[in-house]
Amino acid sequence: MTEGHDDARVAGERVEELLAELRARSGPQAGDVAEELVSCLVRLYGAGLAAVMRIVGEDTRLQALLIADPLVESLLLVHDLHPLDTDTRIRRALARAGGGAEFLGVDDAGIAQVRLGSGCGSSTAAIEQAVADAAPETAGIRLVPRDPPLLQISRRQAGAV
Amino acid sequence: MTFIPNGAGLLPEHTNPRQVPRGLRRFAAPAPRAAPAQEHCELCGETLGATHPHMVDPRNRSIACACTACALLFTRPAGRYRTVPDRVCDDPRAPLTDAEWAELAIPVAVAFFFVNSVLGRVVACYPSPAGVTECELDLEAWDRLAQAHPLLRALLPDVEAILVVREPTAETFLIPIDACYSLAGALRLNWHGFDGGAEVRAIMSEFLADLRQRARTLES
Repeated sequence: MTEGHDDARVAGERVEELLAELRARSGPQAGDVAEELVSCLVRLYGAGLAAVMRIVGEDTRLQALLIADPLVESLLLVHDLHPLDTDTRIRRALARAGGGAEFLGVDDAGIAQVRLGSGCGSSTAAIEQAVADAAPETAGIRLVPRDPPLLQISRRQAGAV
Repeated sequence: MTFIPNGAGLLPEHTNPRQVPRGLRRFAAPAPRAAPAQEHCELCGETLGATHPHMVDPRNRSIACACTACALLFTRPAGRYRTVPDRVCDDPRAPLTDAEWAELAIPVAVAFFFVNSVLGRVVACYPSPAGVTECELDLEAWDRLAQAHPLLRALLPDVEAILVVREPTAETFLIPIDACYSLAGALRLNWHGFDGGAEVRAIMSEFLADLRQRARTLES
C-alpha cells in the first residue's frame, strides 16, 4: 500500500477518533454538531471533485492519470466518482493482491463475493481490505473458501450419478 | 472450521460478510442526518423521544432534557436537579378577578409566576419577542393573592408555574415550568409586529386548549 493511499484512510480514522473523543468529553450533542461540520466540508470538496470529473469527461488518458494517484483515487472513491465500475475495480484489486482470489460478483444485498485462492499472500484480512479500499460502496465482503479439498471424492460421486 | 490447503493452514470459514471501515465515506452521503437533531438525556446520554421529562437546575436557572429513568431519580428535591412534574391544575372555585390582577400591576395579558428557591421568592415573567422577560412583582400583593387562592399556594418551587392569561378570556393554571418555556420559545420564534400577530394568537389558543383538556381541579 502506498503512502498516499494510506493518507486518505488515516484521515478518516483520525476523524472518527476525534469525534469519539469529543463525544466522550463534551457529550453527544457536541458530537452531532461536529459530525455535521465534517459532513459539510466533505460534501463541499466532494462537489468540487464532481465538477472536476465533469470537466475531465470521457478523456480516458486524463482519467487514467487521476486514478494512478492513490490519494486522488481514494478521494474519488469516497464520492462515488471513480471512472471504473465496481466489478472492474474489485478484479483489479484482487489481481494486485495476488494469491489467485476470484471475484464472484456483488449480490443483491451489495455484498462482494470473493473465492479465496491458494497462493501465498492471500491472507483473508489483506483481501478484505483490498476489496474495501477498491469498492467502498459495497456493503461488505463474503469470503468463500476454495472448493473443498479431496476433489477425488467429488469426482467419483459425480461419476456415480 | 474448514481446512483449506492454501499454505495458511486453518482458516475460519466466512459465513457472514465482514464490514470493513469505510473512512470518510459516511460523511459524503447527501443527507447523513435527514432526521431532526436527536435529543439526548443530559445526564446519561440516552436518546430521547419527542416528548420527554425535564429537570430544573435552580442554581443556574437552566432546564435539562432527561430520560424517564433519570427523571425518576430526581423526583425528590435533593441535589442539583429537580424533575419537572407533569400535572396541570386549575381552580374554577376561586378565579382571579380583574381587581386582583390589577393589584399585581403586571403590564401584560400573559404572565407566569414561579418560586425561585435560590432567591427565596416568587418571580414574575412574561413571553415576549425577546424570549422570557422577567418583570417586577409586588411580593406583598402576591402574598395577599395567595391567601385567597389555594392554587397559588400549591405551587412547587422551581418546577411549576402559575400561568395567568387575561385575554381574550381570563384563565389561571398551575402548569409544569417546562411548558412555560416551550410556550415562550414558540411565541418568540413566531412573533411578528407589535402584538405578536395571528400566528402567536393561534399558538396561544392551541396551548390553552391543551391545558384545559389536561387540567384537573385542584384538590382542596
